[in-house]
Amino acid sequence: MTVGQQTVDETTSPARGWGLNTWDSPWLNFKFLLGVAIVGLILLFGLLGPLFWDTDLAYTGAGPLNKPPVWQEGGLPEHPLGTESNGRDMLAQLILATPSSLKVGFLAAIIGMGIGMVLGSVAGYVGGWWDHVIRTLSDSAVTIPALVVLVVIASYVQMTDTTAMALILAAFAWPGPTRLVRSQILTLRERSYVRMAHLSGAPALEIMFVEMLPNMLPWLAASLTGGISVAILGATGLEVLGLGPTRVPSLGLIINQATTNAALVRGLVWWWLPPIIILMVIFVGFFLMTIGLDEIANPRIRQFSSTRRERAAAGELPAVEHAELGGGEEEDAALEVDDLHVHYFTPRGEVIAANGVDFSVRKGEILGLVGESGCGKTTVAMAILQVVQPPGRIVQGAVRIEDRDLVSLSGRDLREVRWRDLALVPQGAMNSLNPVTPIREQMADAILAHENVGRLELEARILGLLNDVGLPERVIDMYPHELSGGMKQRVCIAMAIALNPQVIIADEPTSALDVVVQRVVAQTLLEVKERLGVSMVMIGHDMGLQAQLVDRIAVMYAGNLVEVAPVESAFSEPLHPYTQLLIESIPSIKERKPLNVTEGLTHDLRNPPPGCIFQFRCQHVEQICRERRPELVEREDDHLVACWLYEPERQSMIELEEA
Amino acid sequence: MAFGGGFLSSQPPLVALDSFSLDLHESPAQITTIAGESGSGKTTLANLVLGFITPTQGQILYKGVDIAHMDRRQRMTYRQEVQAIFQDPYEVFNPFFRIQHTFNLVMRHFDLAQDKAERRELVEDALNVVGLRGDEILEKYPHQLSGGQRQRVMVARAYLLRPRLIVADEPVSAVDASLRAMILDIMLRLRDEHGISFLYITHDLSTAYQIGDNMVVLFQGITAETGDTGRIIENPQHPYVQELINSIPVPDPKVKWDTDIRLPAEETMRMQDAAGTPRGCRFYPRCPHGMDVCLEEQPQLIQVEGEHAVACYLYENDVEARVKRSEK
Repeated sequence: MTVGQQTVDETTSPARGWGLNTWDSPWLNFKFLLGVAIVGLILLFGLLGPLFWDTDLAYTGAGPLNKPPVWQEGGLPEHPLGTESNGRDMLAQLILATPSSLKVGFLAAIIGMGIGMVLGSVAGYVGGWWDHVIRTLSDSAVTIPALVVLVVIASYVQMTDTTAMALILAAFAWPGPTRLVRSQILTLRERSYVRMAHLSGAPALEIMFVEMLPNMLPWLAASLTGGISVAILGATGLEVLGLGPTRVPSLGLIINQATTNAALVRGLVWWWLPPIIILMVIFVGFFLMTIGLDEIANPRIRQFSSTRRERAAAGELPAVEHAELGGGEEEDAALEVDDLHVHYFTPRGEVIAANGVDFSVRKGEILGLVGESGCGKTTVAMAILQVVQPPGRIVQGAVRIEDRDLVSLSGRDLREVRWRDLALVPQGAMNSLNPVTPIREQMADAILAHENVGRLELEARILGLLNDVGLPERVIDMYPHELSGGMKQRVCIAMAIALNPQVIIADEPTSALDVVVQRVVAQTLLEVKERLGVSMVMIGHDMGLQAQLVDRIAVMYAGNLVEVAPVESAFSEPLHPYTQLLIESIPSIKERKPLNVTEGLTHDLRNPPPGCIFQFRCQHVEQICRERRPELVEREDDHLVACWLYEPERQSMIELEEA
Repeated sequence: MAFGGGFLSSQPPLVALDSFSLDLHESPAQITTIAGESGSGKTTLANLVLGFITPTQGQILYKGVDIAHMDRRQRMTYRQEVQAIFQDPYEVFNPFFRIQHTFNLVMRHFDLAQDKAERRELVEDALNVVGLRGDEILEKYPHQLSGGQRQRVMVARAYLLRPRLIVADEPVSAVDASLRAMILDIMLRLRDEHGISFLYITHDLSTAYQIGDNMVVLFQGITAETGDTGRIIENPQHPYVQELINSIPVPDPKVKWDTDIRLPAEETMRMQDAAGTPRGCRFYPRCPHGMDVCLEEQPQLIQVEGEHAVACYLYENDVEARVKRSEK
C-alpha cells in the first residue's frame, strides 16, 4: 500500500483537463520539446544542407581519396568532413542520406499508424467477430521476429527506392498501433462523455473522431515517435546488410560501404562514425519525444518525476517557520497540528488549501474532520502524513507526535514515523491493494518494511490482524479480486494497524461502500479503536456517519477550521453558521422536509476575502465579519468556534479600530 | 439481462437483472427511484433504458414500440425524449472541449432551433432553469467549473431537449451536501413545472425519501420491494430493505447503531446450485428469517397493500401450504 497515491481535493488540484490554449498546457513538456528540437535540427540539416553545400560531391570520383576531416592533418577545406575510398565527399553524403533515412522511418510509421487506427477502431468500436479476427492477427504479428523476416523479404525483393523500403517496414509497424487504438477505444467508449455524445444523437464516426480521437492524441503521438525510431532502426539494419536500395544514399548504406571497404581496419574513422552519430542523435531525439509524450498522456508519471524534483529542491527552501500560535500543548494529545498552512503553487496563483489549521487528537479518540470537497480536509490529512503532492507545499506550521515535529523530519526518519506512529487508510483504499499479490504478501511487506520478524511470527501476526478487523483466516491466501469492497477495506484497516501506530488517518474510509457494508466497516473501525486504544482522524463529509463514529468533530470551510467540538454538542448545539447549515442539510429518513438549497463555495481559494471566510454565505454577517477574521476561540466547555456572533465585545472592537 | 458466458468461458453468465418489470406513466410526471447496493443491477437498468446494452430476454417498450427495433426517426425521437444525468460530474465532459461543445452537440443532431440566435436563447433558457448564466460558463473548460456547476450544466443539457424522462444515475452521490439539495430541488422543479419524469437511480435511500414518488428496491438483480417511496421507507417489509434502512447512519450522536451486524463470507453470499445458476431467494444467506421454502425458489412479488409489493415468503398467506408442499 502506498501512502502517496492520494489526489488532493478537487478545487485545489491543478487543472484536470488539457486546455490546449492555456499557457500551462501539458504539451509544454520539457523532454518532448527537447526531442522535437533535436529531431528538427537533424531534419533542417538534411533539408537545408543542399542550399549550402554541393551535393553532387556525394558521387564517385568527386574528390581525392581517403582524405581525413579538415581538423586533422592532411584534411582539405573543400571536404570539411573528409572523403572516402571512392572520392565521395562525406558531408555531401550525410546531407543526402539523413533525410532519406528519416523519410523511410516517417513513412513506415505513418502507414503503420494509419493501418493501426483503422483496424484498432474497427476492433474496438464494432467489436464482436471483427475484434476476434483483428486481435488474433495483431497479437500473432507481434510474435513474429520482424528483423529476421525483413532480411528474408529484402533479399528477395529488389528495392529500388525508399518508398518500397518503407512499405515493407510498414508491414511490421501496424500491430502496435492497432492494439493501442483498440484498447484506447475500449476504455474511452465507457467514458461518460462518450455516452453523453451518444445520447446527443451523434453518429459513431463523429464520436470516434470528435470525442475520442483528441483524447487519444498523446498516446498516438507517443506510439508514432516510438514507431519512427524503430522503423529507422529496421531500415538502417537492412541497409547495413546491403539489402536496402543501393542507388539512394542512406545512413545505413554509408556504414555498409565503410564496412565492405574495411574502413574500420584502415582507420578511416570519419567514414563510419558520422552516420552512427547522426543515427544516435535521431534516436535520442525520438526517445525524448516518446517519453515526453508518455508523461503528457499519463500525468501520473509526470507527477512522480516532479515529486522527486520537488524533494530535491526542498532542501534549498527556507526552513519552515514554526509558529507557536494558539492551540497550546495538550497533555493527552496523540497528534498535534499546529498552525498548519498548505499552499498550492499553481500557474494561476497560490491556492490556500489550509490556512492556520490548528487542532489536536487526544489519545484514544476519533476526531472527525468534515467539510465539503475542496475545503482542504484531504490536504490537511496529506500534510499530517507529509505527503502533500506538488505543487502543494507546507509553508508554515508543525505536526507533532510525541513532541517530534514531522514537518522538520525527512527521508528515513520520516518514513519510519509514517508507518510506526502514523498510518493511513486512504480514500478508496480497496483500490490501493495490488491485484496480483495475495493478501499475505501485501501485509507482510508492510510489516517487514519496518520490522524484522520471523516467518512464523509474521504469519501469526497477520492472522491476528485479520482477526482484529473481523475477517476469516483464509483471507490471508486470497487475492484482492476475490474479496468484496468491504472486505478489501478491512484488509486496508488491518494493514494500517499492523505496526501499532498511535494515530490512524482515515480518509473517507467508507465513501464508495453501500450502507450495510459501510456500517460493517465503521463498526470495525470502532472495535479497532476500542481494542487498541489507537487515535484516529476520520475525514468525511457524511454527517450521519460522523455522528455515529467520532468523539469530537472539527469542521473545515475553505481551508479554515470554523468549529471544533465534542460530537454531541456539535449536533445538539452547533455554533458556527456553516456547521448549522451542514447539519440542517442532512437528508433525513425520519421526516420529509423541504430541501435547504444554498450555494456551494462562493469565493476563489486563490483569493480569500478579508474577514470571515464564510461571510458570503452567512445569514448573520455584520460589518466586523467583512473586516477581521474571527479566531478559533473556546466559547463553551471544550467547544471552539471561529465566529464573531459569540464575541460580545465585537461592536466595541470595531469602534476601537475606527478610533 | 445477463452478462458473461463469453468466448472460452465455462462460467454461467452473471444475471445482472432478473425478470424485472416496471411501468412508467407519462403523466403525471413522477420520480421513480431504483435503489440498491452496487451489483444490484440498478446501473444495468439505466444502461438498458438508455440503449447502451440490449436485454438478453424481454423488451423495453417506449410508447408501445420496442426500443431495440426502432427505425432511425423513432430512435432519434426516443433519444430526445429519454435523456440522462450521470453520477460523476467530471467524467461527463470531454476534457478537450469547452462547455459550449456539450450544447453544440445536442443542437447539431436535434432539430431544436432555426438559427444561431434562437439556439443561443434556448441554451440560455436551459441554463437559467438550473440557475446558471451562459456568459459565465459556456466559454470555460470543464475543469474550470465547480462540481456543482458541472452537474447543473448536465441537467441543463438534458432539459434543453425537453425530454419526457430523465434517467438520473446517482446524480448527487458525488456532490456535496449543499449542492445535493440544489440538484434535488432542480429535479423536483423539472417534475412539477415541466412535467419531466425521472428514473432516479441511487443507493441513498434518504434522498429518495426526500424527492421520490415510487420506488423499486433491487437486490442482486431481483426486485425485493416496490411501491410508494414514503411507505417503503417508513414501513419496510422485506428483511433486506429493513436491514438497509437500519444501516443508514442516524445523524444524531445520541442514537447509535443498536445491533451488531455481520455479513456472511463472500462465497456463500450468492444463492447458486451446483451448476452456478441462481436458486432460491437471493437474500437467504443474510436473512434473519430464512425458512426452508426460501431455498426452493425466488419468491414472487406479493402485494402487501395497494401498489406496495414485496418479494418475500413471510408475506405469503398460504406459506404454510408451500412449506408442506416442499417437504413432500
